[in-house]
Amino acid sequence: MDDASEPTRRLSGVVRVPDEQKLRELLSRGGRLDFGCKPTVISEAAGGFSVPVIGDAEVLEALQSDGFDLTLHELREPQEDVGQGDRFKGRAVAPHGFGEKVRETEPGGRAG
Amino acid sequence: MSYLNVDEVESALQGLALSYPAVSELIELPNKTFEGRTCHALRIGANPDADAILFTACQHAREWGGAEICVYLAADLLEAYSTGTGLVYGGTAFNSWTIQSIVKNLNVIVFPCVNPDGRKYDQDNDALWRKNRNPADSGGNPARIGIDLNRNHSWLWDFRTKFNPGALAYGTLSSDNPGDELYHGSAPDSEPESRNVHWLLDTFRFTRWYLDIHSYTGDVLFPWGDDGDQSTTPTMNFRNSAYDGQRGVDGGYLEYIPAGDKTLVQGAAQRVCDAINGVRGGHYEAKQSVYLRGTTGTISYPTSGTVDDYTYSRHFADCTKGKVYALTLEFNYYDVDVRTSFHPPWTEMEQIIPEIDAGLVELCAANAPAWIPPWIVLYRKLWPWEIWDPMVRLVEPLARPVLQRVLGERESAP
Repeated sequence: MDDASEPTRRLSGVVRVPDEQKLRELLSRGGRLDFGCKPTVISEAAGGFSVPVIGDAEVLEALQSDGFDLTLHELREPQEDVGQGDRFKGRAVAPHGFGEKVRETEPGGRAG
Repeated sequence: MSYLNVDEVESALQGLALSYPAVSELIELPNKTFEGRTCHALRIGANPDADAILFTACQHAREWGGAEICVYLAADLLEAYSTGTGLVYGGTAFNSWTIQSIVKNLNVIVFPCVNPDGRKYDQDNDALWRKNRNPADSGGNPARIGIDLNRNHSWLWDFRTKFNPGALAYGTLSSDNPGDELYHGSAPDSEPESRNVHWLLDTFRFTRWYLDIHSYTGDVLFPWGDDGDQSTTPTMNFRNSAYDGQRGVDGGYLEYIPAGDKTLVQGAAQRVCDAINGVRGGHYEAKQSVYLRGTTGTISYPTSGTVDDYTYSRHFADCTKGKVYALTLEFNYYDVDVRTSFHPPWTEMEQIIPEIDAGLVELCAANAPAWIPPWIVLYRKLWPWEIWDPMVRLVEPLARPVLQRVLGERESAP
């Protein structure tokens, strides 16, 4: 369904695989299965690996029907964490960083 | 506070350039994006002829925090330099002498938002958008818009020729299908966003280090990304077409990296990790970029057309280019909801920014010389590079056999 006229809302999930062979098999299904910037592979304490994935419903359903252990997670609603307007007032205000500016008590001494 | 929108990224850079005119310079990038945006970078440094370190972010639109990491790094360096203070990030600290040395003797260039069209689209639509917004190859289908910029660079771009067909099975290499997340474009370096990064590397020809920021696996990655590496057979390298069709699978081909370079990039990646982990006890790991974290090291993730490998490969491919050591940093936040992993809550991002900025300052500190000899400045100012470069390119094919005899095959293999 590459030619769908509208982008479909994607789902996210975590696939659990028992070993590296199955992990390779999962990764080989790239293309429309989205592993993020690069695949995140989490070693499970009980053995095996977890891999977060994103995809259209049909892509993730195909994973399940092929026997992969997939837990779906509803993607969260859009966040409100993006600035509105321009906090720097069109270059009139310079940002300040997050580092603590510390004056040494002795010349050349180590900060902090 | 909150994430910066694309206009704020621009005005932040402009505000810094206006506030610190003696030690910063706003750089306009020459290639406009598909949606007509002009991008800017900021150079921080008292001496324009000093060596440079380049930091870029947001090639991938949805990896929002990289822009903030770059903007606030610039703000920290400029403020600390101007007020004569050190910088403290949790458990990682830099004294004022170090900050003075970085700004006086190095050019730190930040290009916080390589892909503003994609970031704007992702912030407006919450689409988990990875690519840029170029619709040229979409056939009018919105789902097929965009090129993955980090598969578009001219390094083993033609993956069907350069890699073993088996490498395609990893599903992470690249794609020539515009509907895929990894679509590499219609030609290498086809995208203006890619060419803007190359322009910075060309313009600041004494760039020595490059670091590209992504998210969210918690790694600092060093070259190469196409296959495992080796330092014993120089002729086994990305330029050698005899190895076409062999790269990217276990066994056989291994990409050549000079042993000294491997030591340097591995050491730098570890140093960056240590600085980050020192802030609040993180668990960042240094790895060769072809391998996946969390596995035994046998699961590889071959890639083509990536900017870090392109950047490090430039001096092998063109004798007039300086050697630029390249790293990729994946900052880390994990949630079972992938959207939250890409867009950590801002309260968490406020913790991540100083962590990563500590790592970036460490990379600068490790490469800032104590002073710059005046004859180096004079040479860099006066040498007629525009005449020299074409001459070197002309002579290089003739000189290569001689160099191979004198130096052995190291770094002069086909």
